[in-house]
Amino acid sequence: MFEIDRFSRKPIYEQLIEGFENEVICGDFKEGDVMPSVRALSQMLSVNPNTLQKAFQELERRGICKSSMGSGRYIAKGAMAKVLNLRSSMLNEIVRISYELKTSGIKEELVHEAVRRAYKNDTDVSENKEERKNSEG
Amino acid sequence: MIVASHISKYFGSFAALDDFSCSISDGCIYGLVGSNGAGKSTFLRLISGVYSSEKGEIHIDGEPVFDNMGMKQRIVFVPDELYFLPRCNMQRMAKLYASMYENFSYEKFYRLATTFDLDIKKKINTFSKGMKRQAATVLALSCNADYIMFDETFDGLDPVMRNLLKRILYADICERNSTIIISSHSLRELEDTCDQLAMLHSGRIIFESDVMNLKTSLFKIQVAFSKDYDKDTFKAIDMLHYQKSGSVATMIVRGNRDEVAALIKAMNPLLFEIIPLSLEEVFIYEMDALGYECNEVLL
Amino acid sequence: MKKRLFSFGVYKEIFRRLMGIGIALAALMLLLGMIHVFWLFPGVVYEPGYVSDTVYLLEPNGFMSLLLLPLYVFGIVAVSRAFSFLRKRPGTDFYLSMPVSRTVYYVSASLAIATWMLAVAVAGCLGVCVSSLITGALFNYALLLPMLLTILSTCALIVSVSLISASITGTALMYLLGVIIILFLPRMIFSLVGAALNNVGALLGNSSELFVLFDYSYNVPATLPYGLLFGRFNDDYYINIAASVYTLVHAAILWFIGMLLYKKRKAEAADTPAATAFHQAFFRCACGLPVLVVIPYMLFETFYNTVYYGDAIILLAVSLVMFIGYELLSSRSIKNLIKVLPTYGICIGIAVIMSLTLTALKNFDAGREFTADDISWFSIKSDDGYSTSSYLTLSLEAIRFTDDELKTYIAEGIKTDNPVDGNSIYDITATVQLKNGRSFTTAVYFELDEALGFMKLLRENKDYSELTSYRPELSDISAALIDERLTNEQKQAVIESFIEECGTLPENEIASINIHGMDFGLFGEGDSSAIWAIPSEKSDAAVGIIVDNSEGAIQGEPNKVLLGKLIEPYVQILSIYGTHGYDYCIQQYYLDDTFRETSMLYMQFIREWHENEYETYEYSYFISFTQMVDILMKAPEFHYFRLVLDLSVFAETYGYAPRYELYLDSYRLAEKTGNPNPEYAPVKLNPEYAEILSRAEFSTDPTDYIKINISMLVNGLGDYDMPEAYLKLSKADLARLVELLKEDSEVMYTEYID
Repeated sequence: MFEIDRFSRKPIYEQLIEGFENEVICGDFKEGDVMPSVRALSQMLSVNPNTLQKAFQELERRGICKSSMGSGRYIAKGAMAKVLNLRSSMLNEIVRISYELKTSGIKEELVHEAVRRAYKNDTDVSENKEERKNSEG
Repeated sequence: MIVASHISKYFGSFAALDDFSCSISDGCIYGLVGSNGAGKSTFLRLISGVYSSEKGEIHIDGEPVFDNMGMKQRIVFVPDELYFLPRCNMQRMAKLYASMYENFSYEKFYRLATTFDLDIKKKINTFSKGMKRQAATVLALSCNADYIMFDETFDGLDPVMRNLLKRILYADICERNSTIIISSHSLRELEDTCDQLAMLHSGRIIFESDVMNLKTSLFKIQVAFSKDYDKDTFKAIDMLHYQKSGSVATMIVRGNRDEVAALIKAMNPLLFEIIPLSLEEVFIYEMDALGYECNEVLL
Repeated sequence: MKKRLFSFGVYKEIFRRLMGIGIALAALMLLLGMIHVFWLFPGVVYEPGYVSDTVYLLEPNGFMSLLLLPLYVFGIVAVSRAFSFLRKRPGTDFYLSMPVSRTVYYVSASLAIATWMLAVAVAGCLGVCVSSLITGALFNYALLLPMLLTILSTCALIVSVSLISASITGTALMYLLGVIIILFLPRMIFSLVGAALNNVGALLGNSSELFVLFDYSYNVPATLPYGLLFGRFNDDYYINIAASVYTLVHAAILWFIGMLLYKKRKAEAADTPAATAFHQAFFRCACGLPVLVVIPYMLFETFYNTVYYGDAIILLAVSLVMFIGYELLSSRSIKNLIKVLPTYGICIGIAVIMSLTLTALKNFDAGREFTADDISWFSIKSDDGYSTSSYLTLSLEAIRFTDDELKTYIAEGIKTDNPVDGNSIYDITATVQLKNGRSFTTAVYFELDEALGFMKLLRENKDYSELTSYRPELSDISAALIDERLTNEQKQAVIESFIEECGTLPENEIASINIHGMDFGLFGEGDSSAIWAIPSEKSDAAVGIIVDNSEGAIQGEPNKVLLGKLIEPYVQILSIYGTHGYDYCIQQYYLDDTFRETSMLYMQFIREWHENEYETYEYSYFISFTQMVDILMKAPEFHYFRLVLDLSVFAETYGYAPRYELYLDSYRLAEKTGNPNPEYAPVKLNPEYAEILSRAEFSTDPTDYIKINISMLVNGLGDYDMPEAYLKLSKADLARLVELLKEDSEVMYTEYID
């Protein structure tokens, strides 16, 4: 289960939604799985139950989970797809960021390199910095 | 549901609360923030029936609290200056509480005391300040009240303890739908716990909001354009603050993030970043917009 | 355990919190009750085997004050502990946020205090019982209940006052100040009014009878300090059940007031001097009042015939200082002081009201005169001074005199004012019932001849003489305090002799009213155990008879009065002893000449005892005048003989020296005659001395008595001491006596007036 970062500027509410969606994406929460109760989650994550409640409501609105009388809350059918759909909007972010990089004079090759590295699960940021230095200097 | 309408409370000629109104719904964690003398403690004492107001009324579920023993059963107050019976231990305090609060649960008391690792046989005056607060909290929670009030109880506690306390409060809310009201000097203490926050100053609420809304609907934007621009360019956006240095403008914006983002992007910015704000920053800007000096209010 | 009025949890908590003070004070009370153990028998400690020769009577009047003093501590501290949270903000907030109503807390806390109060009271009474058991001193257990009631009611009042003070103050200092003010100030004002009234006139003269507010046995806690300082207590204040009931009711009323004040108290009052501005004003005025009210009293004190304005101004200044001082100390703001200064007007107002009341009463009283015809009857309240009211006293009070002549005396006596120096006036206290229905108790003043005339008439009164001629039957006596050195048979013999001799007494020698300043009669004069004394016109000796009609043992065994006898708490015991104190070595008693046979018998028994115990005769006797004359008539030989004659009363008139002293000493004589062994040179007294003295009569008229002291060591008989006797001699006898003294070469020392 993910953790909440108290010191992040990102509102806890948003972190919760993101966290659950990530769980869905990486398959920890599969369609049909019953989600832990608000109570258990609030203890686990140290989060205000009301905030959890609101997060769940948003997740339901997004169609990622469903709740029904008697059987609690569970991951809805097609949740994965929905999340991916939402996440794919992040691809647009890549366009934007790349454009930014371009306007700052960053070479395209470096952007590709960055993408490759990410997919190799190599997210060490410090190396990036070094590389940048090398390219500029 | 707690409803306070137009409360005024005077100490001599000093108005601790001045035409103060608010309403607190059941099941939420309500935070009261403000400097010393803002009126937080006074308000809490009014709710718990220690004071009675000169003007206005406080009702819980439609009933007044002062001198209402039935209602007081459902309220428990943990004050800033703790009081324990002279030379007593927690066991004895528990007996006293139990004799007054009908719903007091010894089982819960023992369980919580164990959770906090407190010796109920040891004299409380040998406890450290933090432990005393924990003891008071344990006793209060064991009363199984519907409304629990903490007056600066969390201020200055170490993070581990604070975390533990919070989790216990959350459990309580889940089990019993209790309403919790916490007052503090510092927003940071309350930021990740409360649903609702109210900022007090000079005996009034100057700002009250749902925390989640606050944090999601107020944010900082940094933009830069290739062409010239000024503030008017953004009149479609609800701005609290605008600052331009060089060609980069920093704005504090209220609204729906996606909508505002779309609007800005439509203007083809060179640079565009959305930065979430900390609650403290939110408050500072909101205060500013309302015309208060931030250091006047927060400390 | 209904939550409405009482919470067992609060009760338990307070009970526990008071354990410290409760146990400490209960222990103290127990010890104080046992105080007689420590007083009575130092001999037991220092001289094992010392035989106690008196049986003592435990009279609560002696130590009741001791038992009541700790109650102040208990009451004040217990309430302070139970309500300590009122002085601190955190504490007050804590309790006020709890779901326990103020009423419930107040009631529960009060019950806890009451529980400990009961323990403390019982401990005190228990101490007395233990004391009685250990020392063997007699104690009338029927007195336990009234004693207990007195202790309880006193403590209850102190507690109630403390509760009120706690409810309206916020700091410890103010709490104490509040207790003092509420407890003592009202009484002080009433007492001043009462004292002033005493001087207003005869009608309302004895104000303590006028209204319970002036009677200091009601409301003991307020008057105890005064009583201790000035030694004034009503008789039997410890067994005045009516007073206890009054006090309890008073305490209950104050308790309710305390509860109301407590309910109204606001949280904000914690740690402030007084709960509200109103209370603050109350304390302020209360500080200014005590000294101020002395002024109206002063103005009515007849002692000050002219008003001493200087004194009044000083008192006013002191009062103002106290008023201002309080305000400054508590609020520490001069601005505030100036704002509240006008409230001093309340003090002035009260003083003015007092003055007006007293003036009105004075005007009302002046010009009231009575004649004997106005009086329906009167009764006499005998003033025992400082002992239990005796059977005789109470019976006397019950007699209603209707004799016209007596009534005239009374009517005249009432008119007489109490003069500034009361030395030559004799007073009694009489309750007078007028024909118009009014009744009052007042002091009646007599000049000397009036007093004598009154007494004479009194003795002729049928009721009075019947009362005073009462003799107990032997079977009436259930216990006797008799010298323990006597065997039971001897005790019996002494009592029988005593009773018999009682019957031979002529009427006019029996008990008379205690006339102030005169050695007339003794209703309990002297030792407090003498409850009824037959008296002495002839010497200082006194004998007490006390009669008890209850069942029980006789003669020295503890009185087994049943607890049920509450109506007559007066233990009456036959006691034979002298009025002089004893020294710790040996106790000698002598009896009045009236009881000559009895006293001779008694002395004989004592002598036998001494011989058995000590085998010597080295002790001295107190003897009476007649006994002395008897000895002299036998012309004994002395080792020394000393006679002091005091003629100061009329030395001038007759041209005698005021004082003569004859001293015969075998040693000196031996020196003179050159006899080397003084003990074999006993001296003899000129027989004419004995002759003259045998003709002397006792006198009570201070204008014509002579005082004579004799002490002598009679060879083979013992050391005798005859303390002052007041004798009357015929002119011739007196002249001859003086002549003898002048001539006697052994008159060592004389004083001449120039």
